[in-house]
Amino acid sequence: MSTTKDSHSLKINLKDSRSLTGILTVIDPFGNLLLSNTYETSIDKLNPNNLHSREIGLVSIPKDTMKSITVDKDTYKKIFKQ
Amino acid sequence: MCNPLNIEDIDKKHTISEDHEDDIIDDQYIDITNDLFNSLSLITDHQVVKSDYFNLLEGTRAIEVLNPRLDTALIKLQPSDLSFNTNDKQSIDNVISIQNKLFQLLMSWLNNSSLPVTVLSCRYIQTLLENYTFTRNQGSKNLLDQCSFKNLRFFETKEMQDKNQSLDDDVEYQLVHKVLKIFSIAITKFIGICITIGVNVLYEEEDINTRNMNLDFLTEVDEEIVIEQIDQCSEWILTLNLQDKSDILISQLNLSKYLLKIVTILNHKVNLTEPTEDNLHLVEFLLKAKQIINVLKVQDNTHQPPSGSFSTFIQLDLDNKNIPSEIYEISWEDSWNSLSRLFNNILSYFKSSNALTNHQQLQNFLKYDISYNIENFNVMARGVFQLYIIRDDKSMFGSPNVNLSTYVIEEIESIVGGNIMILKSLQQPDINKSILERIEPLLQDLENSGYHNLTIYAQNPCRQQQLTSKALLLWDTLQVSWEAFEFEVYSTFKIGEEISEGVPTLPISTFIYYTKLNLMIDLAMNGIALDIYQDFEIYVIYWFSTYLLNLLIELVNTRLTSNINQKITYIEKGFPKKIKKLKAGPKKEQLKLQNQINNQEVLPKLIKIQRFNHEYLLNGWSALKELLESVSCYLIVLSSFRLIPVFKDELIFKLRLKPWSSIGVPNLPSFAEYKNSLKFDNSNFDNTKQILTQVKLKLNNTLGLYKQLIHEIENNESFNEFWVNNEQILLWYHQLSSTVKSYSQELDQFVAILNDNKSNLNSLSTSYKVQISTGHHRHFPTIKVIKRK
Amino acid sequence: MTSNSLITVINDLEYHQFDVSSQDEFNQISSLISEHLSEPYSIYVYWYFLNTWPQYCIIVREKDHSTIIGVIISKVEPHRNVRMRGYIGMVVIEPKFRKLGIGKSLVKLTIQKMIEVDNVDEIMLETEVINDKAINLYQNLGFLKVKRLYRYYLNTHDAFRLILPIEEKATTRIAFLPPIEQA
Repeated sequence: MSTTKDSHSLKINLKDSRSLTGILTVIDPFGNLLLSNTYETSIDKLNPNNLHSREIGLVSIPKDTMKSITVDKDTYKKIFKQ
Repeated sequence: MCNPLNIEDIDKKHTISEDHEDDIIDDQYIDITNDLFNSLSLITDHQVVKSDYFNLLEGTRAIEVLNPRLDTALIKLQPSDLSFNTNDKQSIDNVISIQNKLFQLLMSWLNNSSLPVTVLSCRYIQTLLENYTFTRNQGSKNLLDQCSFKNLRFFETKEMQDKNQSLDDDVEYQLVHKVLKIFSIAITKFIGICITIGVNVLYEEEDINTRNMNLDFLTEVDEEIVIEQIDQCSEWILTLNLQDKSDILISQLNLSKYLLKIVTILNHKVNLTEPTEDNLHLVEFLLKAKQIINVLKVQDNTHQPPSGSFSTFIQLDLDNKNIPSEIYEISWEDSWNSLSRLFNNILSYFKSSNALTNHQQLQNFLKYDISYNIENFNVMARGVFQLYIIRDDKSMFGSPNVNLSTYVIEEIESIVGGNIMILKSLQQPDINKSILERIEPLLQDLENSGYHNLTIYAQNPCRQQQLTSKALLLWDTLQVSWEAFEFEVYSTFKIGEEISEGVPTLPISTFIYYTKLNLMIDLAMNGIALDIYQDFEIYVIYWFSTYLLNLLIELVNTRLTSNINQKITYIEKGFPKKIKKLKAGPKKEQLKLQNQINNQEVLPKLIKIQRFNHEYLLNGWSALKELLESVSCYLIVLSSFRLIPVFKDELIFKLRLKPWSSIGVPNLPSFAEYKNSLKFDNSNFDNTKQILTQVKLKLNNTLGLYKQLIHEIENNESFNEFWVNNEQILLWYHQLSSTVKSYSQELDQFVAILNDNKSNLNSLSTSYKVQISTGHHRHFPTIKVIKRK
Repeated sequence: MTSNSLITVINDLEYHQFDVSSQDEFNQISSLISEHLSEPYSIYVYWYFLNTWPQYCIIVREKDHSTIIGVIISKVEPHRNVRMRGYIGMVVIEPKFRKLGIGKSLVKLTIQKMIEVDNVDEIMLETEVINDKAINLYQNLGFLKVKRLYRYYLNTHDAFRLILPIEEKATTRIAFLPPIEQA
């Protein structure tokens, strides 16, 4: 049985150079994802030397918009090595 | 929803076949792209895999990345949107136009739009709020320091730092950092106030949109401090010698100040039992605000704010769970009118409420000036009104004399008269404990339902209808429980008034029934204003309303009238007799005192109820009844020629009457009764014409009744104790009277059509049809017979 | 295109049951809808309906064509646990195929199915107050406007809620109906 406690945070790199971090909530048979509590990180429009992050909430991520899907090391261990 | 898999399972079932060291793209993260997509083959039922606690319905609110209609990051910006620096100095014309635009966007927000596409599109407001959040976390206490226009995100490079330089001796720099800043603070604070009001007494999305992009709209800032700063700033402007432009700046500042002062009326205590005197000075700012708006409205508005000062930038820059949208702006004219209406609405209910001295006035005020007039209210005026009539301490209008509990009792007494035995018995020291125990929750229910009704008046018209529908359930339940209780107390303890020997009056149940019938009629007729009914349903609504109205008229005319007469006679004759019979002593003195109260307080109120019912209420209802019967008859004839269809089946008929279906008393009319009521034989032409002539005569009679009523409302000075302002009531009756005239004309036209088509009346519906459109009164549409094209 | 998904043929147009395994159909449906409805929807709006109620998605194709030219998406659920309520979520017809009665056929097929398969007590939908065509269509099928919803749509229009009563239950207020399990 799974609970929300061991829900997993993913970091998704989008094809347009943004990255999204959020909790994987739904995945459909075609590989489209739904992330909740999502934060978007991109280059700060006001200062290109900085990264800028903001909350965008519940986000649908079509499969073809993703460059890569990653998890942090700890999560990875939890998922695959237990 | 049943899923064989869940997300965690997918991850766990996956077998690690490759060396995952290759997938590591940095120290922190490991690439699982292929693993995840490969695991999709485990889904064999064509369903999504979801977290156990997630409801897919929530997913419908998601945004979608790289979808231009759903991803704010894709918003296209102009170079000026990015380069705009809120620290820069601005010309006085620029500052004026930015401040005008902020008023315009504020009113656009209050016209059912969201903050990101209105006020927050202003870069000054964004920078101010970002800095406020940041500096407050750093522990800064000074408001003006907290709300800086320096863009902290520019600080990185030397070049950027230059952009944030202060030019303290430059007037144009100070116009931004003194004037525009305190103005922006005031607008922001006002938005914060509106959000609080909206969350508490209005409906999200329907009335107001309070989504705030996780920004704190200066909730902890005291508006008095802002007002103080505005006044200091105005003084500073006067030292600048800017001629007429300083007037505009000061007007704008003052107007922003008056917005903040609106909530001060919530501290004002209305007396409610006698006129609250000498209070206009408290709302002088509302008058001044209206004057300022009249001046600002005719400014030359050709000068536009600097480019980049307003943009969609914030939508892709800050926390945002919304989809991208264009900036929404109502017209210059509409914004000032809307702002003016806000102040005007508040001024008008402030004045009216202070003149209130009795319950009839209060009820008419709530019904005509607020409820039926609600579409002329600014949404914030509605919100403030709700907080104004019922205060945090449960007092009505802040009155020291009337709170929610006493209000409900007074409302009962204003219908069935005072000295209600069952309520008086509560004050007796020897009251039976079992009565006391049962009456308390019943009184609480009564108070709750009274409160519910008070939350209806200031809501938007659609909400009013839904809340009225809910009220039917509440008042019907009340009637059942109070009837049983009053009857039991009467038969067991002999407490309660009698109509005649052994027949109890049940005054509170009578009041509840009276209230319920009124709500039932309101619900039926207001559906017409909301355009809920199709052509063929209008007859049913009038037919049903006539039925209810007849019950109401009968209730007031017979039961209520005789009960109140009985009370009057008792005070005038019965009670003095009772005193006379007594020997001198403390008991006699006590009754004498009661006699004095009866004559001074109870009796005048009873006489007023009789006057109100017989000189005003019943006259209005009789006219309405005539009107309803006339138009119903007209509709029956139209149906008989198949110009209007009828309800095809019982199920649809019952669905229409569903809101009233649970009510025990009065009985809901049946489908058979409905069909029966429609029976009309139009085969005899002369007979049909004669019927229509009778309808015409009835309409003429109705017109006479309305004319008489309007004349009385306008000229009978003693009517003033029924309302504090007759403007809306007069409008109501003038509209009804216009309705009667127009039905009369439509009827004439129909008779002419009948005459022209005498020979083939059977096929009338093939060449003619009925057209129903908005009429003179919200409850009565125009019903015209026209030729088919 | 699987032939066993065919429901009926009306005026040379094929009405099919949506095939939940077909990504092509899913994509066609979502692009048809996003192109012609004013409110933008994410993939997960479609999934809300199609995951649980794929049987209530009906698509229309020209004979021997693969392009979807019309679609209806609906659901059936207990309402407040006292009535079975069908809900018509979206109906979209490709503009050049409008005024041919396709929308009406889709709604009728859906109503029929809701009655036969799920014994619904009522069928509900919402539409903008200014959408006369839709309102007429539904009223002609027996729907009644039961509620006006204030500023329901993003563009500040009010909406009407319409209901088609199927069973007596539809005409009784919620507070007076027993929970579905006990009924």
